[in-house]
Amino acid sequence: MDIKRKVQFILSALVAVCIAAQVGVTAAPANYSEYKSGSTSVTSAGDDLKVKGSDFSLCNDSAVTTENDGSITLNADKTVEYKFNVPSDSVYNIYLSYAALTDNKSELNIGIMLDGKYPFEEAQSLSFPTAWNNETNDFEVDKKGNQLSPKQVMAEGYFTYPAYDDTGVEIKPYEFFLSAGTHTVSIMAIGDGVKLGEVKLSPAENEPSYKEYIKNYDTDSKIDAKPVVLQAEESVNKTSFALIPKSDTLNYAVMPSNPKSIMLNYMGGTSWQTSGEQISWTFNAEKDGLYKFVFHYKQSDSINRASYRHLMIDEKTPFSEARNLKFDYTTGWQTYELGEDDEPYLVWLTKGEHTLTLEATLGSNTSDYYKRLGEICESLNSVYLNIIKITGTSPDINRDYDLFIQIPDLEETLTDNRNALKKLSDDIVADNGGSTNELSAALDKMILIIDKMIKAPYGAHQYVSTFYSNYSSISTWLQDMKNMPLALDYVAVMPAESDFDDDSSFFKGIKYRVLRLLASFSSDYDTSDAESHDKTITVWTALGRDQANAIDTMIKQDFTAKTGINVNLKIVSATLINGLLSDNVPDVMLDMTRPQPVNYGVRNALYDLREFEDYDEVMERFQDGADIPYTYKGKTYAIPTTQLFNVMFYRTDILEKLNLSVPQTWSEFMDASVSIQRSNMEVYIPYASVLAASAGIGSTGLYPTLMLQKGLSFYNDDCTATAISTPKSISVFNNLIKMYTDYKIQKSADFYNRFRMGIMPLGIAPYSTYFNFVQMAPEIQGKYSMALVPADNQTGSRAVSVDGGACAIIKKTKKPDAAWEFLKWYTSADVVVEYSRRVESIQGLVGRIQTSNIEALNKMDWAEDQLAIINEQWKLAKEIPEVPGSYYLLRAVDQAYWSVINGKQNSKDAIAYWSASADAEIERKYLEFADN
Amino acid sequence: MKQKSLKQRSRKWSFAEQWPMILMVIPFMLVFLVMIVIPIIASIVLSFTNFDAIQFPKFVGLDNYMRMFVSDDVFPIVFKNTLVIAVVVGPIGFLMSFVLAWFVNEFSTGLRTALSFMFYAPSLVGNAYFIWQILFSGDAYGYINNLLLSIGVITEPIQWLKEPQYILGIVIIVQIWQSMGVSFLSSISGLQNISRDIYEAGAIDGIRSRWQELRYITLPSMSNMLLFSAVMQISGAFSVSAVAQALAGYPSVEYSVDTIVSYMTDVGETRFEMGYASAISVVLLLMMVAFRAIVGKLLKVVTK
Repeated sequence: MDIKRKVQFILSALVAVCIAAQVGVTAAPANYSEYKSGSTSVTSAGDDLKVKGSDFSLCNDSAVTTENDGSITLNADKTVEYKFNVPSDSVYNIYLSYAALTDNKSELNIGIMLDGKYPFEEAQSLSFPTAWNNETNDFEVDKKGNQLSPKQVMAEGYFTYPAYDDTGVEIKPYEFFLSAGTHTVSIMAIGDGVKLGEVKLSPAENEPSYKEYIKNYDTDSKIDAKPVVLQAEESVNKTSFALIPKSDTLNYAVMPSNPKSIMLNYMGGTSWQTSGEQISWTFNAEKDGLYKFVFHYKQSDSINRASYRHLMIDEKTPFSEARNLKFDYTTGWQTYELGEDDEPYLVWLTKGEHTLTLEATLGSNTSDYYKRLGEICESLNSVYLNIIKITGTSPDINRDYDLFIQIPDLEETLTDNRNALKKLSDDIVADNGGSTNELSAALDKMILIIDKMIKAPYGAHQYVSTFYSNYSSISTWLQDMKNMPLALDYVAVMPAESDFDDDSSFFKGIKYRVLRLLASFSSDYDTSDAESHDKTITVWTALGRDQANAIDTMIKQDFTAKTGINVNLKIVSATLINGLLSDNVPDVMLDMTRPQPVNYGVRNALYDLREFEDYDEVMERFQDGADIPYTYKGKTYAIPTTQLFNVMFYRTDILEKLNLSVPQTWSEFMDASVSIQRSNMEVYIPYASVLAASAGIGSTGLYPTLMLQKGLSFYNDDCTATAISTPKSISVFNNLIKMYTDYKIQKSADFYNRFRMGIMPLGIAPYSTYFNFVQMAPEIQGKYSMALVPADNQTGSRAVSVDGGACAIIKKTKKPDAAWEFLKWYTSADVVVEYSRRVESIQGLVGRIQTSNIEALNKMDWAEDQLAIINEQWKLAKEIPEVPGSYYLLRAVDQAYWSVINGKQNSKDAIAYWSASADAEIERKYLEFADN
Repeated sequence: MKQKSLKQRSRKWSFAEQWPMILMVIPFMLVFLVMIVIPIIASIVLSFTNFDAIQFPKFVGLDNYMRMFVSDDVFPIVFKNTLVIAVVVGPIGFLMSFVLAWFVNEFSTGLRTALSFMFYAPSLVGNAYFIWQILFSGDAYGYINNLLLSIGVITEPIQWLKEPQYILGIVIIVQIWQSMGVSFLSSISGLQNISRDIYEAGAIDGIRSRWQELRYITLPSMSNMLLFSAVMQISGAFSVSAVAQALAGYPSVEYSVDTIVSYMTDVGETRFEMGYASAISVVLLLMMVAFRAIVGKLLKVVTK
């Protein structure tokens, strides 16, 4: 293949005709592997076929707006159609040049139809990532010389990307088969609008192997050019905002490094591990010639396993080996010269600017293993569900269940899976240079269990729980094996014959470490720049380090820059009371728990935020009533930062099998529970025992939700006593207890694990559980959904209770206005979104902030249908007031709950007894503050 | 003769002679004063006020003490729990660690070191008691539940940490497991300090059994060491709270394993009643002092 081929031919300018027509969707298409195996005989040939966005042949009214530059804006859920003249039967990749309409989308979902039909199932929703850049590659420096991690901004202009498999299993872009003649390609924007610059059909080529590739060039010719070092952190067009420059201060070999301050010096690590994620760098080649590549990398996150990368030069794969670059496990930083058996791979570069792109990929081996393990898991899961249908999750060991007779083909299925596992494990070990790793060990354990079951068919049921735990372990691996983490320090591009001077030595390492140790004595780890400044406020937070660092960087880059107020952010584990006792208080306290603001506020420790003129304006950011738990006697002591509430999760596949519809009311829920239990599965309802003072009543699970749905309140009208012992409230409590006693719902269970296994196909859980499913349970993608919590049968209310934290200003502050500025900044939508992204870039989706800011939540990247459910449930959520002494209510309910569950007392007595103790505390506190 | 010289020296006490010693003690005394004595005095003073940590305290006389012993429902429960835990964990932990040390001391040096490390490890690794939480998880897949379910002893998972009849026992076991380390270590060093000569002399003087050896030589020779480990063990047992809170939560069901210390933290930090919390701490202090005196007396009897 000619690497120099940069000239593209525009084959046809197509006539644009706009008529109103709906492109119909016909019968369900096959999946990609079926589609591909149905038409492999066609080879690819010819040139790229390109069409400008505005040259569409067909579209609906109002579907598009044409722009001046020849692009179009395709509105959400609309379709636009293009005509292509295909010269001969061929296989094409479809590339789109596109841009998002808003800068909050990490990917766009687009459907592609050929001739009015989806060629394969996956084409119904393809993901096209958006491109991100560092706001500046000239990194900002704080007053101590530490570099600040730059903000990620969406790349301007159009980004070109092929239709590809975002699960990473297909390592090449999707291939579309087109016969000679005229075809239409329809592009459908799903969920969001998209700006479309160009549609390109590019013949899907099988790149030559390196041997064939290098034949075209004279490897003996020498060029005199200096090596170019591309610092990984100074990159362009990253396909995820999570790919931020990072710093490794421990190692002098990482460039640049400085023992005294933090330098941003590498990219990736665990944030660059999902296949399809690309990072590009641009560079200038001094002369025409052959160049080699040297990478300085570390891959210590995926233990004893290799990570793979796909190398592209100017968006083209030079030779087939470049799709499968293997970065071995290392404990430290290492250089790796691209090549095989000490022979570097050389790439022909013309003089001038080039782009080097590295893309995370599963590589052909891992992709193959993944497919095989996926099939095994699916089969083992159905084996497990079949077994527990007969035995239940805890079988009677002394009974003979005749499993091998009751379940036809059980022995055969198990043997097949066992052999498949054995072969897979052997292949993985062979690929890993003959040594085992955690993955192969997990597979071997599963093999052991299956062997035992086959050998002792009459005792097989005693392995049910071991089977379950081993199955969960290998199905976790199914996700983990796809992780391809890689930390990259730099790439050196240099003439073939030059040597790269890797200037590392043992003594330099020692020297760096000694200097670093010495510097640590003089370094001031306090985050503030100017202590004595009038405009410095002190902020305490109990956040984790990752979160606090993210906030701190944002404060320096954004808040201080805009307002001139310096912030001294301190991570404290002590509670505010320690500070109050020692008279060492901050100006602002972040992350206060539910009961704290009111209980501190009545003691005159917190500022009444209603005194600020724009208080009402600020509160519009949140749901109505979000200030209820922080307000007492007309004073509001804090504003909410997070809000978390329950939704209902259900497994669509299992409910369908059991012929159940999604329960809409509690009686339907209980009916569903009975049907589910009949199949030896269970439903889940949450109950959380909470430590004292760390949360409000809203976080204790279902009880507050049931109370709110009945329209009952927890306190009497003037908040001087609890109201949980009224007959109506007691009947609510009774209903809750009945779920456990009469319906035998489990009192405690690991919902996440059982939901993915299918043992608990229906449950109520905080919406954040969704992040765990998305991130860690790939095997159930598309098999579950979210819904509103069931409604009360009488009132029809679907209210839920809320949990969450708040931030407040300390009364003793001398700078209330600066503190208020900070709170406003901290809870504003853009800041929350950026903050959440930064945390997600470290922790993954589970790090997403459960914000209280409506706009911020909607600006985060969600699947449309899930966001709709969360928004709807959020609007129905209700807050419960806090009063001095309110922590006792939580205890009263918890104590009553357990004493009834343990059979000590009946509901009425228990509630009466324990609510009296809460009343006593609340009354004490009420009297104490009666004159305040 | 020796006693006489001691008496002479004490009679001659004079500043001129003793000042270097006083000088050497001063740094420690300052720290002791600031960190221990003053807080105790402050606590005693505050226990007669209604201090809420934020506003200036008001004098309320004996109200806090009256409330503790008369009107507070919870205090008697935590008082009882603390006593039970202290009485069980203290002596059992102390005895077990002594007996263990006695056994381990018989092994060869290498094995002894290894075993000592193993027994001391639980105290070294601070929060390791979390593993018990998994063991006693109320989930059907918690280790103990799963075991019992699979051998058919129970048919439904037991909420180990939520049923009062089990919690206290579990907490005591975990506490003993964790607290043995220090007294074990001091006992073993005590045993090693006893000179072989004394045993030989004893053998010549007619000691016939290991029991007599233990009774007449080992115990009397290490009385100080024993007192130290007993005090450590018992004062440790009085201030149990982290383990109980981590396993059973606070408050535990029906306050069944909450101790004075956890109650005190709750009253002070959650309920902002520093005055009352101080009163509780004063009572705890008195309890510990009294126990220490009793233990000292008992040990004197044993080791004589």
